Amino acid sequence: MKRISLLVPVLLGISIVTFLLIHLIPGNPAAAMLGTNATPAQIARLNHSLGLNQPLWLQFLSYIGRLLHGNLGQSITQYQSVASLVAYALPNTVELAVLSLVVAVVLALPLGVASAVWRNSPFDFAAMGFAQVGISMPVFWLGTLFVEFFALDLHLFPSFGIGPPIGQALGALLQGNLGPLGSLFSHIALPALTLGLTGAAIVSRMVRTAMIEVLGQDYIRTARAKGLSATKVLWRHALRNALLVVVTVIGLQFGYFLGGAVIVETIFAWPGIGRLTVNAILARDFPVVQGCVLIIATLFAVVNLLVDVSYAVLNPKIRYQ
Amino acid sequence: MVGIVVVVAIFAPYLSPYPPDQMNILNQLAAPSHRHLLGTDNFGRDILTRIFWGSRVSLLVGFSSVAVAGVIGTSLGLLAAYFGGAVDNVIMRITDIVLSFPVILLALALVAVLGPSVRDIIISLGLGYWASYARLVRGAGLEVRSEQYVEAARAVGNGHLRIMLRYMLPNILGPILVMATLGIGSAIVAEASLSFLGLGVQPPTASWGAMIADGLRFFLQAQDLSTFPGLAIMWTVLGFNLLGDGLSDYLNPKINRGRHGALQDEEESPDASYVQAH
Repeated sequence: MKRISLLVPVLLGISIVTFLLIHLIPGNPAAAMLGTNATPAQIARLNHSLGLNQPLWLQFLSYIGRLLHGNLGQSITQYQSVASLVAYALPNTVELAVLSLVVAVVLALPLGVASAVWRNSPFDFAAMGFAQVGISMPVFWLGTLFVEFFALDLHLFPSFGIGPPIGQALGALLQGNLGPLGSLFSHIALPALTLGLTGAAIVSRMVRTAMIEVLGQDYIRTARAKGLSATKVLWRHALRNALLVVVTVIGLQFGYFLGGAVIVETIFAWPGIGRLTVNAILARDFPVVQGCVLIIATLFAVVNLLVDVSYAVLNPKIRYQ
Repeated sequence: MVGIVVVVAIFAPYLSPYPPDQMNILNQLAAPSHRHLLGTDNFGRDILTRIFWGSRVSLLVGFSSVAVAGVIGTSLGLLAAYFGGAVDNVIMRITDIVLSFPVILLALALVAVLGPSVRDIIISLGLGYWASYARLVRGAGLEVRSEQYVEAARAVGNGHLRIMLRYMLPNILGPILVMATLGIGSAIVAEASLSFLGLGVQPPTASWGAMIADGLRFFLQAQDLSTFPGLAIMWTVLGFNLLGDGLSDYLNPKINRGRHGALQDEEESPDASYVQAH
């Protein structure tokens, strides 16, 4: 409960940071948003509509009041509410992040476990060598290489865009039509692989470290001494305990994918919240930037809290007061 | 690996076969040849030259943003560990808030409002990364604070600042150095990411991230335009990661018993995965 109550000041802090973003703009924020061709009347109108001519504390109170009503403001370039733009983009980002996470865990878990079991073997050196290279490889370069190779050279996957919504694809599948689901997967494959592979490099190293530590524990030696088979010791005793680390890593990775989505979504023109943020920055549409940053940071903070809480639930030795 | 990049960055004006901004519109997107070892870009500029000059921007941003983050984070972490109580609470809550923002997102937002100059990128990345240092230093500092030599320093009348800088800091420098080394690689990738998105170092200044973005734009005309700047980033980041991991192993008493001070443990010594994941 104490841990959950700590989220409140963090969320308040996030809203203060996002509120202040617009006020960090040198000079007049409204003039900066409208560009050099704006007339004084247009600037005055935007100042008024954004409430920038009010005292700072009043602006903040009205900002918090709006947030509590789910109002993230109005886009100045797309003439839509920021909430509706985010509501469209966020599910796409979550879809991409979840699939990337699946790619990362499916690759990293066996790789990390095998590296720990065959520690210091040629397999371990090769796997961890690849992981080190994967960690050092910028995600946007990997994405660029994938577009160039798989999309433009081999024409295996589309280089940009999104397939049909997942609900529609599943509905079609129930009617025996595989087409929409295939289109969905072909569109998401490259962005998810790009994010997932980089994530797998990080996760596999962490899983390996956790497994090596667990495999050196007394209870593993006891289990072996009892005559349990190596497979049983590995899966029933070692991996179950190493999973604690995996849960933490999944939480960290989700945050990493939210950050990475900003880059990957731009490369693959994936209509998620990352691309929405970058486009808003390029168009100097600061209400949208504020809204996106607020939502991503809030999501990140909540996921971190869930990781902490699930860590405590999974590990009886840790109990938050 | 890092040494090669540092030498190239320092001696770029002498090593480069051409001036970095020398255009030749009659020789655009040329394939590698004896005159242009890695070919030319869409303005006919020599790619090898621009990779050499790009290393300067990368290293400048990498070292400077880590210095900004390190100084802010270490100072606040030390204050939190030394004074504890309300000071610790306030600093750690601010740290929690900053850690709620993915670094690249915070840097993007700050660059958007401050502007895309090298100075502002350094400030933005520094402000994005300091919280990890603060948390690390606070953790290590809490252990050191109750050591007898710190108590003794206090008993003989040393001031707060002197105790923190003279007695606590030198004993927690190891993990900070490891994190800083790994952080340089992360900062280089972050700068390249910003430049890739068009929000980093502005043209005509050479930047590896912007060169990769050009490679994607002109892929159909020149397939390997993004290959060499990509390899340059990977080489450099890999170098810093290996250096950081090596440093971490060297300073870790569980691996190198008796070779170094016995303050660091595995939790305090971050590795490449830890820094990348934060």
